[in-house]
Amino acid sequence: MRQVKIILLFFLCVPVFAQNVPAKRFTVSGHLTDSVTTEALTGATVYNRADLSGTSANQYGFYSLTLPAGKVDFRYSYVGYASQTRSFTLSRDTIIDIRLNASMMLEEVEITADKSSRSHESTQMSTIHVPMSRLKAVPALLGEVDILKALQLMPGIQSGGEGSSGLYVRGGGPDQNLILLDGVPVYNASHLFGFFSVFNADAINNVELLKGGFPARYGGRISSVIDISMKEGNMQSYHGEGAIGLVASKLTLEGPVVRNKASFILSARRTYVDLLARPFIKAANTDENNQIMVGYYFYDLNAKINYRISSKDRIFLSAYLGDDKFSAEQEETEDDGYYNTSRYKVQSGLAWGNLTAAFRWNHVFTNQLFGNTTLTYSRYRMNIFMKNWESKSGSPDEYYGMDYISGIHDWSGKLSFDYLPSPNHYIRFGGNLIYHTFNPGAIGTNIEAIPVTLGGQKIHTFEYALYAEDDIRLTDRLKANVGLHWSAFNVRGKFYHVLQPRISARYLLADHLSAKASYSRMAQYVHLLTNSNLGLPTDLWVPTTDMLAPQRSDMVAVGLVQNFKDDYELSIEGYYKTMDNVMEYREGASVFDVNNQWEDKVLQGKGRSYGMEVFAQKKTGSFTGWIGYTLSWADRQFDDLNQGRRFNYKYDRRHDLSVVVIKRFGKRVELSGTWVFGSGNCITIPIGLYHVSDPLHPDTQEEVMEYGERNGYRMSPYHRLDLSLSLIKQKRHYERRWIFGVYNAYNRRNPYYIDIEEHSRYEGNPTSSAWQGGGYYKQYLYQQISLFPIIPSISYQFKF
Amino acid sequence: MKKAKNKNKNRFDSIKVAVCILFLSSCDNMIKNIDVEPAHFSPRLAVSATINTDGGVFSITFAEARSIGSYRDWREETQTIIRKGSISLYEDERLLFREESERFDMSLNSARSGYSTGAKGLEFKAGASCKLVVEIDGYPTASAITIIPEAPIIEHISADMQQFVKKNNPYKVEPRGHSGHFYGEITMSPLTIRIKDNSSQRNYYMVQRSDRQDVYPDGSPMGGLTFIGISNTALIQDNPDMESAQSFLEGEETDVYLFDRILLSDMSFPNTTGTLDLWVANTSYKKPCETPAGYLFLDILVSHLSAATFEHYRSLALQSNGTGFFSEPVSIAGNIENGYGCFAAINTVRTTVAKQEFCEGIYY
Repeated sequence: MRQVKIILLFFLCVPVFAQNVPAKRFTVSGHLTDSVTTEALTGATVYNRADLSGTSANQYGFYSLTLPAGKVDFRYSYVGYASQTRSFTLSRDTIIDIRLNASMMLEEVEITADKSSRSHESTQMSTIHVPMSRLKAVPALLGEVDILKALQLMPGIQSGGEGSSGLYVRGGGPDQNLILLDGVPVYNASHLFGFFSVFNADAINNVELLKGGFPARYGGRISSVIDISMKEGNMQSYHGEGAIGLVASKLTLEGPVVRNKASFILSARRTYVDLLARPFIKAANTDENNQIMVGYYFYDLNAKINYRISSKDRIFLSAYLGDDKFSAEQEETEDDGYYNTSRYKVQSGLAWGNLTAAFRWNHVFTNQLFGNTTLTYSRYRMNIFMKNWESKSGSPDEYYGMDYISGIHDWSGKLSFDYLPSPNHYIRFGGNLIYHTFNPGAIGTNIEAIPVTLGGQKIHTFEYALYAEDDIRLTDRLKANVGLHWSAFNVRGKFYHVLQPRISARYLLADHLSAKASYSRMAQYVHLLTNSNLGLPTDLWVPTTDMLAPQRSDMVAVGLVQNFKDDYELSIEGYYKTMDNVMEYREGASVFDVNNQWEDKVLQGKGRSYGMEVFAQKKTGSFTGWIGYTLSWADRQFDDLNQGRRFNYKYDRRHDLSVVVIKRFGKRVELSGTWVFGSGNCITIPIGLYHVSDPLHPDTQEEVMEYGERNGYRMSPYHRLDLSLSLIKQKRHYERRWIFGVYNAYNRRNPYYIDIEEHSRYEGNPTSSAWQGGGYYKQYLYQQISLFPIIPSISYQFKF
Repeated sequence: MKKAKNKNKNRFDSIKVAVCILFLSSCDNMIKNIDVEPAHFSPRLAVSATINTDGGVFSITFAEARSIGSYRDWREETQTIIRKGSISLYEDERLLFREESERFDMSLNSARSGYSTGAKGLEFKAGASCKLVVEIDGYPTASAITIIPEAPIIEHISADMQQFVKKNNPYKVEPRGHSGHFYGEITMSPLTIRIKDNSSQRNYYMVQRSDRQDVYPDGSPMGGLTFIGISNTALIQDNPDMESAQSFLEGEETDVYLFDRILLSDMSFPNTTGTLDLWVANTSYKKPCETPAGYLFLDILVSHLSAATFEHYRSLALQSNGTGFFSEPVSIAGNIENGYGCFAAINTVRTTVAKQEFCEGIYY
């Protein structure tokens, strides 16, 4: 009860405290947008050079700055855009909408990052914000630009290895990342078993990743937040861009529905490996009586409409639909020679996909209060299917079908408010409610049209959250973001709630140098049950239940940020994170075992990670890029695993280094390269072999493997060089790019997993006994399996 | 001009070669053998030893546990000769059994069958602490201590051998280590066992069925072809300790699942008594009327297992039932110090529940 009182007091006090500002002040507010695309410039800054106060635009480009009456000298700026200034005498509340010009359009204008836009000024730490233009320039597998893969090049963020677009942030698991697409959680962000992410870069406007120092407005996951915003669509003119690549093609169209009132954007992408491979597979089917066909494809559709009802109201409707489907079909005909023909047909496959939809309403209540109402729907489903037909002459046809289905549905409502009473306060508060429906794995069989379903009872839950935070300027040098996030979860009559204090602060040590520190507690009520060998679409999303407690993390981080001449940035951060109630499968558990309740197959334990990250980047000019280095440790401890001893987390990566270089030669050539190096993943492999006999049947023997320490073997290091060359030409009506890429340029065989192969052979005279020299020889060999060799690619892109 | 053309041609050729190399290397084999030197793995003994009060049996088999890396090229028949060694079994400090290598010139097969020995007719006391010591030259001394469990308290046991019910066993049953399997329609007779449980501690039980005609001279069931079935699936599903003991799939009501043994813990017993509704399959080798006695003696063996024994069984089943890449790795549970394996203690109560002459049913 005392906790509840504290929460209420906090939420009531924050706005009241912020109201306590001097009289005779006026507010300048408005929206900051791109002059051509009309996209909101999230994080663009407004800086009053007259009194050194400033603020930044929110996700929708809204800004508000309340100042004493008098002379003001505003500078509006955003990285990569030409700054604009406005000087006037402030004597009443004023609305100024600013459209900034992107740097590439204005070669003559000096582009500088404004003082308040520099990272050392912000209270926020452990945040990555890379412009889409730079992410798109990073070399990509088969030329398919992938946002999540590009984020893996940042310090503190690791890939699971080849064939995985899962992110492992500061020792956390792939389920501990809240991936938001226009505010809607995306549960499985992978295509093609993790080789590509579901985000079509052409439809994305902005990407921000937080790996620590979480502001109170975020919650629901314990390791990171990846906030991805789709483009809104150009309000003024029609534009499009597309690409034709080796594996996929895509097209994006955008334009006004009603000029300066409403716009749309529509983006589609599809792979065509299945279509290209079909004739070859058909040609390979030389046996008429045995025809086999396999295929795989994925597609994405992004759509968004926004409508500016008035200067104070705007609504958005956005949706994403994406599916992957792998299928195999076999048709076999048998003739017994007595005019009896049997036909067999088997169809099997694996399909998974996401559907998200969001409706948002922005409303400017006053020039200091901005509100956003969001209603969302998110669905992830996975289906393994097998259908079997058999027909024999003179017998009725037989049919057998099997489906394994799992998934999650979310309905959610969210209210959020930005309140800017003075330059010294930026207050955010709000709340949300999510209705989850989990379907954690069920097998449905259909034999002779009699359906039977096993396992996988649906679980319905509610998740609630309230938050309030204030970005406070305490002195000229000291600024802090203080907040509180309260979340709760209701499942099977059990009510969990976690109070999560958040605080981050920065202190200006010098003009370009600041020290930062943060503490945040996070809680998570949904979990992903994942195979320890590799992440698959078959991984199950499951809720916290009356038997399984929510995950929780506590993290402290400290860091230094130095900016050099606005061009270079260097940051060093150290962190220590503890995690409670993280999940792992029990020994021997398998995702395909539906005979046991999933809750009986999992264990909860503790996790710990700590390390140091160094990030150096050059942000402007024809030569840009960054170097990210992470030194880290991550481990887990479960009472029922590894005899209760701590063991390495699978992705405990001691060293992780990324070097990204992007060089532009004039307007027509762009060369980029990335080199990554990471310590090998930790895995559990058999180290010994022995035989045991059954105590009740001593004559029987069983060969068993001794695994030793869990995750006790570290695979060889991962390293890879990717190169990309873009040839750009501005045609009369459009711009075209030829992109040549090489993935894994020096053909490094990076480890994917390690298997044990058993070989037997006989040597010597077959008639002689073992004592005479002959005998059976046996070999057990460790084999390292790699996925991707060197892969060249070419793609053609156009933009109009 | 010509020179420039040649230069361009050379450049073009080198590009072609580079492209060819790129594509050829793409087709490179992505599997390679590697040398793995995991954590230090010194040779140790893998010991499988059992004390069973039923017949006073002590049996032990031991072999050598070796690193996977040492099996790079190993001849199966290779024998490791044991120059010196001993096996000792103590009950509460009292020597019950001892065997020495000089006397018996025993040898240790490095992988297949190991060395087996044992004794029967020994007297074991419930609650006694038994210590096993295996000393073999060149290996660390392996030892283990086990407490002999109390005998299970069977409140009620009954089998109605008059009743033959045709049941469908939808899954192939392969008894551990033996050929032969049963599936499809089979005749079954109901069996009910009620066990009184000591609720102060977690108890582990095993149920087996033995046809006296098909037993080893020491009384242990022969060939494992002694099936017992389970019909009360709730007993298994509510009991996470049980499911892993044998592979199990929920079935339709008419189905029964046959096992050569049933292992369970008391976790799902509703109170201090647990009732098992089982089936016995009529799978005897011989028709009762063809046996020397002309009778079918049906023995039900209910055993109380030590916790280590149960965990060992369970981990063995989990590892062998694993679905490879999609299953989590399983460490074999054991209680052998400086070695691998298990020193099991089993207290068994054998009850003859039916002595029914019949020549009906299905025989295999």
